[in-house]
Amino acid sequence: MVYLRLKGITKRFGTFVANNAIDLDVNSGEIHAILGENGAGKTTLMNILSGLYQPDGGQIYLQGRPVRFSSSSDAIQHGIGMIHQHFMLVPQLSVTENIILGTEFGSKLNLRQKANEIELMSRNYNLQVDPTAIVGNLPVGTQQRVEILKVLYRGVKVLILDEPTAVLTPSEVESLFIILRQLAATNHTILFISHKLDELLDLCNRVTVLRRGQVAETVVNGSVSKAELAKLMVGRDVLFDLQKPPPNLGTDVLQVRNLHVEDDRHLAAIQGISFGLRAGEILGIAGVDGNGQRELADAIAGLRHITQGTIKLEGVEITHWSAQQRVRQLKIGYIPEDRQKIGLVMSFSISKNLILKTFNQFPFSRHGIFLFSAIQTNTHRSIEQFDIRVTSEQLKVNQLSGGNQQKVVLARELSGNPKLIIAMQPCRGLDVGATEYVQRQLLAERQRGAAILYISTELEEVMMMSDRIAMMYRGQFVDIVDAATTTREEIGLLMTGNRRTNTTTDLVTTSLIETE
Amino acid sequence: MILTGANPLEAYSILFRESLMDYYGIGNTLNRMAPLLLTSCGVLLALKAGQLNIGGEGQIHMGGLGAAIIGLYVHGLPSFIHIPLALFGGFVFGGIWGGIPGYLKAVRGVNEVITTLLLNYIGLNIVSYMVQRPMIELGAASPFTPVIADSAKLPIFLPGSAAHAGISLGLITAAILGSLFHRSTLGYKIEVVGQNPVAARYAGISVSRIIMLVMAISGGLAGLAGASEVMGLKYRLFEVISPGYGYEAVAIALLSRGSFAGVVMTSLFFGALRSGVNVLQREAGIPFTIVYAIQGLTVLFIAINLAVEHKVLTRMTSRQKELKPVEIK
Repeated sequence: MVYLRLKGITKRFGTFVANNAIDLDVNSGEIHAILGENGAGKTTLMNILSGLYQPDGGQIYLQGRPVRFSSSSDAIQHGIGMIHQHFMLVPQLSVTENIILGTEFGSKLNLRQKANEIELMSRNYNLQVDPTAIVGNLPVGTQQRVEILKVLYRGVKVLILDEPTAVLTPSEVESLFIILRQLAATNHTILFISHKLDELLDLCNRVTVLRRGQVAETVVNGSVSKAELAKLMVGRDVLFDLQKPPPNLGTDVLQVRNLHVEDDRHLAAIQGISFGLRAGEILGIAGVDGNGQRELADAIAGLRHITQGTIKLEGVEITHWSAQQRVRQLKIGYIPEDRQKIGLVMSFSISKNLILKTFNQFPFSRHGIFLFSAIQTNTHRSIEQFDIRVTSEQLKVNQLSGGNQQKVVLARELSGNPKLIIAMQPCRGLDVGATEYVQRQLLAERQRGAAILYISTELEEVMMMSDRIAMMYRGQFVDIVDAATTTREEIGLLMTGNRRTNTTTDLVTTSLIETE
Repeated sequence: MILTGANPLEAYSILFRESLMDYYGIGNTLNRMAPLLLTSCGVLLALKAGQLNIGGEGQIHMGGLGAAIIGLYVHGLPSFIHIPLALFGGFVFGGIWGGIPGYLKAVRGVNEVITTLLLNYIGLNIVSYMVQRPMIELGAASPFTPVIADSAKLPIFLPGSAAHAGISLGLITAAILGSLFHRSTLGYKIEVVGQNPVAARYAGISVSRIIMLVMAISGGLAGLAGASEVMGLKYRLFEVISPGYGYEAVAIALLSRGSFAGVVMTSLFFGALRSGVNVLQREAGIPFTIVYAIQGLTVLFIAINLAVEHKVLTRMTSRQKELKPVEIK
């Protein structure tokens, strides 16, 4: 039975058509995926559905009846609720207070009774949450449950989830999927927005692929392969298995011995890590977020104080060099995990961001005065070389899409042929096409002879990119394994801190470079 | 204005005629504009690095003190040495008064809004003590210092009026700072620190050093304003040498939307209002408090305008986010 039907939905922003005559049928009790690249019109469509935008054309039908939503509360009254990527919760308030927020208009409030109601509801839906807990203290996965409870409390029958797994750990993703399947079984309709193909294939009944604001196709899950879906989404073939030539190992570039680093709260974040990295090699670092990856990358880049241990770059000890010194040497390229908060000055132009690290060097400046022609040439060359899609070179970085922002970071960090590249979650938040681009660039750097530290929480990515893989758990390397011979299961086990019984110490020792 | 029984149109025409069209009026306006311009240049400079310096008042007074000390107690120098030296004294004293909050912010993480504000009171009281006790002129009826040495007096700019060279100091400062942010790496560093301190650290820019430098210069410029008041206008140090220029400068800097050319124009406007005040009271019978109310309303209107514009802008950029698919892979 078709529960929700969209017919010819069109939305324009100025001259740009974000959604062009979109038709969509969703059955009740179905988990329906909306797939598309960044900017394909997924979010616009969902904002129309949840009442945030009014369509310029077309009609929405609920159970066959035409409806029109003037606001998001109007949509909720019709039983359509959205769970945003960034949670709309008040961290200081309790779960109960968050859930009932905005629904109570009387002057009396019996919080305990509400808490009981919510506890009952959460048990019914199998969404265990303590209704008296303060939301800010809950882990991200549980906060998401609160969001789901919030819309269920409002009697919603259609749930829209906007990239819900982006912030979750693998185990949290699994429990979210269980919850969603249960909801679907109780006749809720779920619209699941994502660009992670594996998840969609795992979870959904049908997939509607959007491309450039139009429906490319709606397919039944199981009838198409992952590669076919990607092709529908991007409009061309995508290679999932990057053809990676065998490593051409060179000299030792990076030697880390017995590294100890503290995090921002002065707790030990890295406890005795040792490894070596050779030219032309990619060492992948896998592990669940927050096991010291950030601190490791920062320590090597010189942004974090090292309490114990040594770091050598090409045999020169740089342990206590300042970030300025390392930047001046230009031998380390660092792609930070959050390009918007760390890697870029969002209000600056592309040109100004491209010289963020080299602005006080010739040819960009002399005696503290900028030489604009060299800066402009550099911008021009970077845009061309890294295929940064811009309408004008004067654009500010916050006017670029995520993929193009990352290209700006890449253009800056890879210029000057760094000996060592630290790539921290370089593909986070990027769509398939941009991810492929970033990975190809890094592989090209590997061929050139750069030593690369590839840090990611996405296991697939790490396995595909790396020559060796180190599993990080609670500030230590559980093991370092050869990427060619290892399996997903083995790494999954190591990620949770279980050391293999037959420890292949030979792999570990060969990777440690003896210092003379 | 109608409430006070005056003709508003006539009042405005008097205001602008007397402050901008009249020879003496211009001199008067420029004299008010000079300290405003110098101080607001300093505030804007700090703002560029993300620091809100509301301690202009204290920095002006300390600068006046510094200039007065050199102007009073150093003798026998030719003007072309004595004037720069006294100005330098004002700059250093103001710089210290701005540098202290800068240091506290950069090293200890203390909010600069609080420290600059509190240092205002300390600065004012130090000056008050100095002019009441150690530096007071013998037999003075009220607390002020003796007249500074002739060699330390700023030259008069428009002969016959009181307009002194302080204004040129302000214009030069604005021009230097404007070009600093246009083409120098130092200006670039300051802007990176102001826009994204995390990225600045990542790029190897020392955030704390920039903050200390900028706050010290910011205070120094307010100190110059105080020095030019003492050396150009009053020729002595009084207990109070600034009728709130330090706070007005914050408004000017915020209204100028990050542009030093804007600071020059806004300071001129505020200076004209201030110099027109007395005339207005005299000729149109409008109490000066009303003029200050007008000034307040102006600031309010411009602020509302900026806020609305900002809203429109953010809406446009959020639309731009929707527009992103234009750049497709």
